[in-house]
Amino acid sequence: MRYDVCIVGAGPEGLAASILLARSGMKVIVAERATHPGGRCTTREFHPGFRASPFGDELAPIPAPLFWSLGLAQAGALFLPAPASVAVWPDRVDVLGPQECEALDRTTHGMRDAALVHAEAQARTPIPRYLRFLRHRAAQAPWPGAELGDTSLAERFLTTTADPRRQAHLMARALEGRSTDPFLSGSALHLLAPGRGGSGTVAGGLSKLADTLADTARAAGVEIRCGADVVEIRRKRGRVCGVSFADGNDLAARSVISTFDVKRTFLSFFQWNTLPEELTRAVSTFRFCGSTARVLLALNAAPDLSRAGAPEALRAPIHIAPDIQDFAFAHAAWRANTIPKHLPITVRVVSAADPSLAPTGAATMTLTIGSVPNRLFDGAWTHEKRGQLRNHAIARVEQMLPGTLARIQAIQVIVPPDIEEELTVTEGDLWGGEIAADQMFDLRPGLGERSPRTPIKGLYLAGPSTTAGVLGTCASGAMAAYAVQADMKSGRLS
Amino acid sequence: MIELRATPFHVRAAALNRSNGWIARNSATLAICYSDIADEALAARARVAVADISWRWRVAFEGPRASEFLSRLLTRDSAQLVPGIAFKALWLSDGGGVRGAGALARYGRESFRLVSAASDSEWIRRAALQFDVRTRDTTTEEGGLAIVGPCAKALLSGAGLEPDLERLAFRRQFWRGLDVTISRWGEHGGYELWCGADDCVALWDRIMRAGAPFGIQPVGLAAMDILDVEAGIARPWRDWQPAGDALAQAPTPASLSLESLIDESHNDFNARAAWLNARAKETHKLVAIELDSLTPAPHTLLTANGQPVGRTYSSFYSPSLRRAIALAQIETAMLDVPLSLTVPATFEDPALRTVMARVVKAPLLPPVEQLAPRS
Repeated sequence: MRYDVCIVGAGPEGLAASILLARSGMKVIVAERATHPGGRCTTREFHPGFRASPFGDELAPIPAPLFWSLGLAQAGALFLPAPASVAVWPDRVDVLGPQECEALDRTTHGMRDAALVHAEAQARTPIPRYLRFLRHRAAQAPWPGAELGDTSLAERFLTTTADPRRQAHLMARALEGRSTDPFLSGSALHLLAPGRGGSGTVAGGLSKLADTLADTARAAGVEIRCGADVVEIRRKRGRVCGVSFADGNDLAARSVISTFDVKRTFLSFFQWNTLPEELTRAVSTFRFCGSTARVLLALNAAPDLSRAGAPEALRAPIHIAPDIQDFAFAHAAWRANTIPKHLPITVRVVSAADPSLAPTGAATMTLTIGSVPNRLFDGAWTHEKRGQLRNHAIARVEQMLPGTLARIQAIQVIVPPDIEEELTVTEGDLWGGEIAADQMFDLRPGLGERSPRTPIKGLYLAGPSTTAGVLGTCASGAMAAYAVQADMKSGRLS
Repeated sequence: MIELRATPFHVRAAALNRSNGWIARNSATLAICYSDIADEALAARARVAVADISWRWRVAFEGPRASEFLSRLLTRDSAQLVPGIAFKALWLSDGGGVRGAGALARYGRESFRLVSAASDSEWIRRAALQFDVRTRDTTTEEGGLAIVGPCAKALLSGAGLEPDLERLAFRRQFWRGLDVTISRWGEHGGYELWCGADDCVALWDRIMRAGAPFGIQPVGLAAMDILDVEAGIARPWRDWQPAGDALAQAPTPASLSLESLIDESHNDFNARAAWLNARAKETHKLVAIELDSLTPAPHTLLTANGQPVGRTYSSFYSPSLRRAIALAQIETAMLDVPLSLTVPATFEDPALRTVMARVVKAPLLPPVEQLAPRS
């Protein structure tokens, strides 16, 4: 049987793409290595009665028109935006209410929405072959938000407020779980990335979103094949003709959408020596920045944050970042492959927003730690080194939220190599590549074709290595679907 | 003169109302919102929310002919109602216009209570006198709390109440010194707790204490209005004007899409003939619509192919659907036609733009019970 489209990876991007394509009448299959669809949208029980999403609590927003067309709310996916943003110090709590957050984010959210419209226009417009050479050299309309490419985060926040602690708070919101030098030009591009007041958490955990998308996809006629490990994307006469699975089976498809990052896609699914040299060079020079560690904590009671003076503070992300300079020091430590002394940590009491994640009266807390290297200078992550990171992080939390340590019942530590192993993301980088001026917009992933198209005919890239993947959840999948539809219509895939 | 009164929970609501925004409904002063409207509306879908519903008009009927009177008044036969159960019904003016809608609960053989979103005390009192039925307005004698959300049942159970009730059932319970009535008459899948006005502060404190592990959140009237529109429920005076005149023919039950509250086999309710006569002639229907916009458009003209086909009533931004929604009355023939209306581009930018809208089936979201957390 020949499919119109084979989508590799049943994360939110792949599932969104499959729904849009199936609804347009195409025969679509989604191949997923794991036993359940979801990818990074996974929620597990890490201790009896305590559940958390191991790879992140919040999602970037799903663009509103896409959210509407997927019908996610009607299918039961309920997004819970953070009601505030909180930063704590031993002697102070800084709370940004929803109106303040909205006012701070209005400009960059506008840029993000406009950039997504730009990305959609690109995806929907196939470039005729005879024009491709000229179009690449013709003046392109600038991407909305491109001006952030020559601005630093420090520059932005130092002019927003004179309060150094408020500056640190804003920096922590912008960089949650990531690593960059905030004084570096182009670091302001992180303001477009997820993790700062996006769609928020999902009631029931992120797996609820994955389940909803999977159910919607099946209802649209998509075949979701779990436990199907794609090992090769096959080509015939230079164009994609299907995929091969680890069990030896093949599948024929007119086009393939890969939701993996650019390195995994080109260096794992193809024999690299059969690809054009400039393509392999572009792929291998694309930089990744795995820097996120997660600690899941089962507590016998929620921590006390009454000093914040706002009951919703416990449902908000609580940032621990004493000083703006700490982010620069943390990034320097990350570059040296060491664990930073002042770990930037974001604490979330996820069960406060969603009581289904913990037994009644208990609490599930997660720590998202930035600037944690994928490899340490003295070797791989060992049990002892994980223990050191855990103790270091918990000591920081105890300092800011006294009494947390005594409430801990169970702990699980997830470091970048765990993310790499489980999600098959290069260097454990959840953002699919470093966010920098030379790796954004038309330069992401910078393969010579504007994403989601690739130099290999019939192969499309969704996922975080594309600009749309940085800007919003499901967006890169939608862009890939629009590109496939446009190319089918124009005859490029015939 | 406008009469305004504080509800029995006002002292607690005032302490928590950080926005200090108040609104009057049914002459009661209520919090618009306590902190953030969207956050409160989501609390009712993700956790548990508590709302002051003391503003609802409540009237007790007693007397040997109470059942006969209520069967005559309401569009369902109260004789079929057993104690401990309620039904929802309308009462119509002599001309067939809807005067009110509410839940009638049977407390005993000769004892009933009617709960409604709008008062119609004088008309009903006069009608009851014809049947020697005693009426007593209990609105200010007791207060009520709505407990809504997927954790509502677990909260009440943990607090020592007995929440195993069918929809529309109710039960009186002596709850650690408080005489409370627990009911399930609401449209949002939750529970209501009623008690004497003097006990209301204690009731509030107990519920807030018991709800703390579930992230209980007090919600204001603005969030409850959002839940109403998400459920496709229109309210008198907010969305439609009740028939004030005894002979008024409008609004008809069909124009408000309330015909499901009429029992067709019930032959002798007031204005049945007028209802049957108007039913076939009705050209408009009340529906829920969703807008391709984030900005709500209350009381706005709806057009189809350039022609006016109806107008919106309440319209809000739904944080669950992440779009603006509305209740609207439109021509029955235009239910499947794409609609358009003009809205401001954003809250800050008053320039109008045209957006599309379409009729959707109510409720717009799955009922809250279906979101109940795993056991």
